[in-house]
Amino acid sequence: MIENEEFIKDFIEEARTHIETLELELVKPNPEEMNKEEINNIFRAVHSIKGTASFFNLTKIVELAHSMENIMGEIREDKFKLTSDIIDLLLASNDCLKSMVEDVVNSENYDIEKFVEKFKALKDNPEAGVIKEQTGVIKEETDSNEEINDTEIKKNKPSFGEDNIRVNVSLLNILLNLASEMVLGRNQLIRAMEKHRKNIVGMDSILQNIDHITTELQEKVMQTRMQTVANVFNKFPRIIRDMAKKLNKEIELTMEGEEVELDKSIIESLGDPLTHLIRNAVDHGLETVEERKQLGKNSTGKVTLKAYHESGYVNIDIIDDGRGIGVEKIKKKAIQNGIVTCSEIEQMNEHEIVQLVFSPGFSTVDVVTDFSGRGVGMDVVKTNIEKLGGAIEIFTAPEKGTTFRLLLPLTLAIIPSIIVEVEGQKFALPQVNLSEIVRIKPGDHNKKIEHINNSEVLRRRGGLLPIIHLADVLGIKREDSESLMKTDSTKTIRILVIKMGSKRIGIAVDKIHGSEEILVKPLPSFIKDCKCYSGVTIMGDGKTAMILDPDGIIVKANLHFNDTVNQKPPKENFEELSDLLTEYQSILLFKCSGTETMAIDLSMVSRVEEIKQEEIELVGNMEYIKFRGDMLRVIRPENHLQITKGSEIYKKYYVIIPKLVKNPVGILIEKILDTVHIKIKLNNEDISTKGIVGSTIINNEIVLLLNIYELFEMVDPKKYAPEKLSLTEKLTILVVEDTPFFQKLEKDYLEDAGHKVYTANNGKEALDFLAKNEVDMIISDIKMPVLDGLGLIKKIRADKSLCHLPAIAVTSMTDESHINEGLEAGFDIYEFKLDRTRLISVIQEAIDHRRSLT
Amino acid sequence: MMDKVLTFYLNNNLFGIDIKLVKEINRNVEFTPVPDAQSEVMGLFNMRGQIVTIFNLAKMIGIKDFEQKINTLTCIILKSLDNDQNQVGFAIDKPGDVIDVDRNECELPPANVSIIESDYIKNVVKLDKNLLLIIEPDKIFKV
Repeated sequence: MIENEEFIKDFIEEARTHIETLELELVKPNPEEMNKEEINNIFRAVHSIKGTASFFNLTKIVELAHSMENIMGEIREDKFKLTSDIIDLLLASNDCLKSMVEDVVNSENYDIEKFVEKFKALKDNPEAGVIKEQTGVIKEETDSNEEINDTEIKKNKPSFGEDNIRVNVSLLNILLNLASEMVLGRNQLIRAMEKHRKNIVGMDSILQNIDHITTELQEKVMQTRMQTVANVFNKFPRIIRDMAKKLNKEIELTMEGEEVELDKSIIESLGDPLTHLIRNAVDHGLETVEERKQLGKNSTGKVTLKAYHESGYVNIDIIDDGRGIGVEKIKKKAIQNGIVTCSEIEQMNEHEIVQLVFSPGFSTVDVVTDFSGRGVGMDVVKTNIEKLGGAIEIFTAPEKGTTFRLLLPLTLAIIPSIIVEVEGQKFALPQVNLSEIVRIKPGDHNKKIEHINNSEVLRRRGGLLPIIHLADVLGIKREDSESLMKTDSTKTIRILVIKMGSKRIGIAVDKIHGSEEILVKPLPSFIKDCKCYSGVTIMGDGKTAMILDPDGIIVKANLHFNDTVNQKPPKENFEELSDLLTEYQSILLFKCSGTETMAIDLSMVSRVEEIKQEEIELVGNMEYIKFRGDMLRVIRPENHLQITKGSEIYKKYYVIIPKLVKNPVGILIEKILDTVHIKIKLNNEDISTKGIVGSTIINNEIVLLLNIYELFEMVDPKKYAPEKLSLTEKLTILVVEDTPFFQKLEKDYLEDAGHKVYTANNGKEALDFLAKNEVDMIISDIKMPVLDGLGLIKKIRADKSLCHLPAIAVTSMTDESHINEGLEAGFDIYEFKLDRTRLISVIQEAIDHRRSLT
Repeated sequence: MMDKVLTFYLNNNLFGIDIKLVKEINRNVEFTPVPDAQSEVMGLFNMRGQIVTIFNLAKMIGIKDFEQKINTLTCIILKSLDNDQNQVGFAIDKPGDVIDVDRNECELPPANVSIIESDYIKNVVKLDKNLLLIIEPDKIFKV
């Protein structure tokens, strides 16, 4: 069978070109006068085919190519003259090679003996006469051979390589440039036609059409340049293996997200930095086997390479579970190598000290090894990543490990941006960095800029956001800056909240013009020194505008980021590191008629409708509304839960339509407050009442998280009460879920049904738990930090003592491919969050399924 | 030996540039200033999809500055070298004629011209009525 089947297409394409070269060279007129160069071409072509074929273990192709190569070698060294007879033989062999390559799966069944023998005979007996006699025979045979091959090919259509063609990269680059210019042209056209859209009949739809096609064209052209990170990742298993041997360490490499795609140019420039980081992790990061044993760690060190999308960037994490980087050690080295002085380091906080690793001339390892530790590197890695428009972050905890995180832009050429204006000048700000826009009206007491000495800050999301003025950073004279007060409090101020990795700043501007897809052009080298810009663009009106670089602005504005709440640098232990990585939860905040702030997880909300008082109809003592042509019962939570009731009658209400529920009932509320995206620390002890999952504090207010399943059950016990299942046995179940809300909910359900429940916050915790305790079943989320559900189940299925455990995946990722992925990884049942009755009833199914397998 | 020279005026001084180095003359150039850039850079300008950096030549060679109020200029755009992505132009008051200059009429800047200025000036041509200063763009617009 063929080895390395996934690359076979590439082989076929490559071999085809070689065979073509061969043929072209061979059929040139006057073969006797062939020069060295041409003979060399033939030799190289056969040689390449041989080389690649041997990689796939295609012995027959290798053998034939080898014979051809031999003869060409002799000719090259002038031992032979290239007669037309030899050319005939070569051509015949080439044809056979062609058939074999096209029909690669069956290539082992081809008969090549006759060619090989002829070549051999030729070599042993280079007299022209003999050859002549023999080649006559060959000719006949090859003819018949060809016929056979032809029919075979027809019968057995080659299934590989049909849908790919080779395209020159420079052509792709030209296409990309043209597509980019096209986007620009479209922007200009749309802007110019804006006033006439309505006046000219049909213009509107034409413009829309051009708009869509251009966008799609540009996306597709961009896609042609996209490659998976597997292209760089694939060389690491080998590197790790070699290093492990040489350094006498046991290392396990895990790679995730190899399918994530990045622009070709980025992929290409990623090889060196990644190799460097991996080597560092293995060489400096991981301890030797003995050291690990002494520390009570698993003797096999783990290195994880993980690529994933996050807010418009592709992140690549390089994680090791080695010794971590000690702050004291960094301090010592930094002073030793003269990077900072003692007094300087006293002033620095932990986060800043860790960043010193990226300074030029820094190396912590005491011994210089083959692989790393020559004192060059991390600074180069950092510069290289920044050149790509990316960033690098480091999280480390002594004895627990180090994580390097690369943040990379998807592509370089076209980016969605927001156009802003200060003092009459327009600038483009890449949207990837923008997290929100805040407008501050004069006289608004809830939102106002406050001062700390001369610096301005804004209270935002429970923290203080440093505010800088774009005009000040860029050195534009502000008309309103005569007074010491930096902000003119009589004007409306717009603030762009920028997020760069873990840093947040607010940039104040005069006007915001909306967003535009802009084409990034490189900065002229005359203004390379300005840190605040990352490029130039031409806007829809044909004028140029500078593209702002938030990172550079932070540097220029001289902002120092400290250990603040927003930033949360990694602390001493790994638990907090994992806390840093926990899943965020989106929740909807609302108020019923009472005073409490209520919340519901957004993943449970199908939609929110506004209705008027008179639209609510009474049937008996139940309230109904019309919703999409149907009757929908609505309930007021305050009538069922232990919360305060207001007596006012409002003119309008909102109805939350829940999803993932059978027989949905609308929830009538009075006011929608906000939706927030936060990590929730759930307190389920202080406020414990039926229908409420628990309480948490958001923006200094107590918020009650609604449990809609319990609420519905209270409203209509008959319809929603979980069926009491006749369980023969009470099970011990481990629930693995990182969102406290869902964790609590699942635990409640299962406990209600009579099971004993343990919880774990991620896959790793679950494995640790399983190592010490016995359970009957696992219910796990898929998306989790540290080790996700798929990773967990793979580990469980691979472990002899655990593989019998039934497992249910419970998740909100509900498309077909995810389900299949989950089931393939080893889950018995794949359930959607979070249908109570289903959850209880599938438990038995999962048990049965697992039993049938084992 | 005759060379063709494009002449132009900067604050009533007559300057010239070897016409082989000039790509085009643009009137009504709408440029975008670049805050925070070196002061010699007046701004950037979109020439048919290409970004041109416009320099303040008057300031660079030490004659009276432009009045900065205007946002439209007349500019001479230079030809760019094959392997150079940078397009360069500079602002002038108004273009003059294209004249033939006899090399024999050219002289190096006299000794009493200050060093900075003589660096930018390749030759001085003695015309009938006045002197023509031929500038050397390579030295002026080096990166």
